[in-house]
Amino acid sequence: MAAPEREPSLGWLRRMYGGRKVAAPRSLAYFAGRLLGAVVTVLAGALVVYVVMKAAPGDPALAVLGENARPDAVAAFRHKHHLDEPFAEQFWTWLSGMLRGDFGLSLTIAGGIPISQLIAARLPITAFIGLYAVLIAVAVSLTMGTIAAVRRGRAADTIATSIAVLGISMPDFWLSYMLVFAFALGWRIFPAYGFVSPTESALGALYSGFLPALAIAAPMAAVFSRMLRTSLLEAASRECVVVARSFGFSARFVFLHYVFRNALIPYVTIIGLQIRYLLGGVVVIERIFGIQGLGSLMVDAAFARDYPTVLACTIVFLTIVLLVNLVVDLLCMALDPRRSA
Amino acid sequence: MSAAPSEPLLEIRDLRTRFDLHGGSIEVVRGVDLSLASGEVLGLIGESGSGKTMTGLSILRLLPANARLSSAVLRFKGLDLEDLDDRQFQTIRGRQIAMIFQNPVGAFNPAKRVYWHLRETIRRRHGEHAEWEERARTALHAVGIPRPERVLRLYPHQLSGGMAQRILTAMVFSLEPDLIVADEPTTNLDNIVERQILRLFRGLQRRSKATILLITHDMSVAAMLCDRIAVMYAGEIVEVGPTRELFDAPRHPYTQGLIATATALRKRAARLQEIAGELPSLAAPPPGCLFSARCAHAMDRCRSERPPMFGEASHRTRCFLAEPP
Amino acid sequence: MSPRRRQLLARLAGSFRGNLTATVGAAITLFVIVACSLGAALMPYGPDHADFLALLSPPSLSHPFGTDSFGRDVLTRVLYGARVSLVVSAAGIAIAAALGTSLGMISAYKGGGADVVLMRFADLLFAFPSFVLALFLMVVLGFGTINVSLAIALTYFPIFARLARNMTLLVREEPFVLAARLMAEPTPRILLREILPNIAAPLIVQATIGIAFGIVIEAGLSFIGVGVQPPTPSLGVIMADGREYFQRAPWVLTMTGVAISCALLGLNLFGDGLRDLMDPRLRQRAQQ
Repeated sequence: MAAPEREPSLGWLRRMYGGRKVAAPRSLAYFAGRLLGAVVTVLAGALVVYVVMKAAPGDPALAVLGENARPDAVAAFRHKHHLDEPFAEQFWTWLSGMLRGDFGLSLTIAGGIPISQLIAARLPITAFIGLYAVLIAVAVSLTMGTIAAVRRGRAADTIATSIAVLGISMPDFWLSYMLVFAFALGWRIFPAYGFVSPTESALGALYSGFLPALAIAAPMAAVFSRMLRTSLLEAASRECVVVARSFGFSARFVFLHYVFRNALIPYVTIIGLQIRYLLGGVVVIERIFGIQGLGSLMVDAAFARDYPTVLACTIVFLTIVLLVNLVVDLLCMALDPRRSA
Repeated sequence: MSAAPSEPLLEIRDLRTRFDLHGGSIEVVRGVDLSLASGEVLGLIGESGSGKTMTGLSILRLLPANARLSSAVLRFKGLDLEDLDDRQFQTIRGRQIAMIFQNPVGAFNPAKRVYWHLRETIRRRHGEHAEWEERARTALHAVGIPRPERVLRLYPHQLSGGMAQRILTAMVFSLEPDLIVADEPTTNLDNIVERQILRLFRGLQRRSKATILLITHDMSVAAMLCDRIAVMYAGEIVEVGPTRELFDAPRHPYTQGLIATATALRKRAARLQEIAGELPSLAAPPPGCLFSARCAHAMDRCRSERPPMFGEASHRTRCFLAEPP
Repeated sequence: MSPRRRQLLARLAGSFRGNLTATVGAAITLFVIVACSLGAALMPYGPDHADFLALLSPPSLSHPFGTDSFGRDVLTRVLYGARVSLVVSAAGIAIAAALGTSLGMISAYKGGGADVVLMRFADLLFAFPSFVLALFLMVVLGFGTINVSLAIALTYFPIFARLARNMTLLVREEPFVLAARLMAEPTPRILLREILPNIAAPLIVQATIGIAFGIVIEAGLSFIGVGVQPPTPSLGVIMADGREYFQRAPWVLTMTGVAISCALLGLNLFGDGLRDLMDPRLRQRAQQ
């Protein structure tokens, strides 16, 4: 069978992750182990960012209240936010609070309310947009990647691959403006600003969230399409495909069960790996569209020098990524008998 | 030897397979003539690179995209195969001509269990609502797997080479094809397992009267299973005849060399008699006999003229040494 | 230059001719680099030259990219800004490469506890979403151009560390390395002269892709205001400007984005092409 051309990406994968230990068999113990690993990573990450944050120069009290604040106001502020305690105590208070879901009080945002309240309000929105984007990206890439592989070398393939390369090369926040320009200002199909929370109206959320989700999805779809194309071509070159055809199975049957089914494994793997790059785009996109999600909270907090809030947002984002990776890993395990049996 | 039926099951004349590459093209199968009678086992012997696998793939039209196939005659059960388009040919594959490959574990769909493979194959042959479970169990019993329940639930990567080849054999025989092309079915198995699989083949073939084209590089395997043997070198058939005759009195120098090597191996001779030299370059083949460079008996004529086939209908050889005076 | 290296370069040059992607990518990238280094000097306007008579004028012959709200020529600003973005990103990736490669190589070579610790730390860093981590670092370090480079460096460092480590593990057992060890060559020398040249190829590919990544991160950070601070122009800063009056004068933001996309396209194609070239060769080596 003729060799596929874009194989190098898989080689890159193997080289990057070649040091990994092979997964243990499918079992509750494995799942528990991975969960534990994720928890440990979150804690370790939390520790690292906390230490780094504390090591930053500057006194948050002065930063918030101003250089010329009255000493007793400063003292009260510092006491309220536990800033006058020794480091170990501060850390312990914070850590035990975090484990209970309490991130402490924000310094400036909303006048010092529990951060967990802020997060609880905004997390579902970011999660919704992120999920929406991933679904769009998967749908588009499944189509484009399959077309490119099946019509390999022909016009459709070149077009699809070029679109994919362009998709990777455009910053997603620029793309969102182009989309707004076209679909919100030009043809007034979608809103340019504002977002209806899914808790208020599901349809409204889908409608107002379409452009932002599309902007985030575009680079994702580009990467996924390329990966699907590569893995489809690689799967099609395996010997079992020739064998299947020698049994007289129809081309469609062989494609579905031998090629597509086996190409899903590297495809899903790359989805897991790329999520962390691409969900970062949600931060800027939220700002552009005025979406009251976790990303814009983090940006607001960054400007307001609200360190605890920035810290909390970072950790929550870390947790989201780890959970997504866990889900993707489980999916991979389900798809690949070599890992589960 | 049973009397040959009036028409061979498979008749091939002047089969040529060519690969189109950047620089030009290479002809890997150069005018092969074969004919198989119904119920016989024909061995196709040659070293790697002789074109024997390509011949097998050409019969089933399973060549890569850059291959070009041509033949004067390619007739199966009286039907001209070259006239069929891909869709029509597709119905012949599996139902009437099937293939056994040399890498047994790699022949399965890694994402599906064994029972899925058997089920789909049986459904292909017997229709959607076939009693596949019963047939699958029977088929696995026939290939010497005593407890099929356990094996059916396994994934391909959990199978040993021998087990995998047995299951594949079961699948192919359950298709009940008229012609089976077996490409080096035991090459990747260790010796003990190889003997078992070969005995299995022999038993199955005798019971089902299937016609088999056995492609191998191993003379002893051919000796065990084949009624007739065709020896292939550099894309051409150089000798074809009944097994016994070929072994007792080989006519082509290449065949003689192969048999001498096989005999020496079997007798654990102190010195292995290798046939010196290598296959000629198929991109720029020399004029004259393709074996002349390695032949101990080469005459001047051999280096300049291509020898045609000489000999009687049942035992022919492509060598000037066999030319009747 | 050793004959082997010369041979490798010759082979590389040869395969370049056959590979469209790498050539096109290299051409675009080269064009972008030349454009920002020379173009900026060649433009008649300075990046801060404000023409109050031509505020927010659309693209025209005298102002191919139009002007912004201060009447500054957008093309000039984009050229200066692209220079800043490229330098910031390249600096960050260079630091990441230097740090990550050396630590990765040492860790793979020495093995043991240090290796585990380093890899766990790199994995931890890698687990954070890149932009979020970069934003966090900007908050900690303070906003500003140099810190953007540092943020890019820290965000991309684990990739180099892991790649260098895995490659070194492959190369460590090669005969020429063992020979050098037997000859009691000092470890730094072995790492530098024996191992590094043999793992350089994928690292270079990664660096190319990394610079593209860095540009996006810088643009994003500057766009929301935590990166390069105005008045220093960078692509993100100009886009942030353009955002204010996007409805009235969309060309500022649009053309800047086109410029970024060009640079990214060139880098991505170049990196892809390089990867296609390097990979089969490397896999052959790994299997020898």
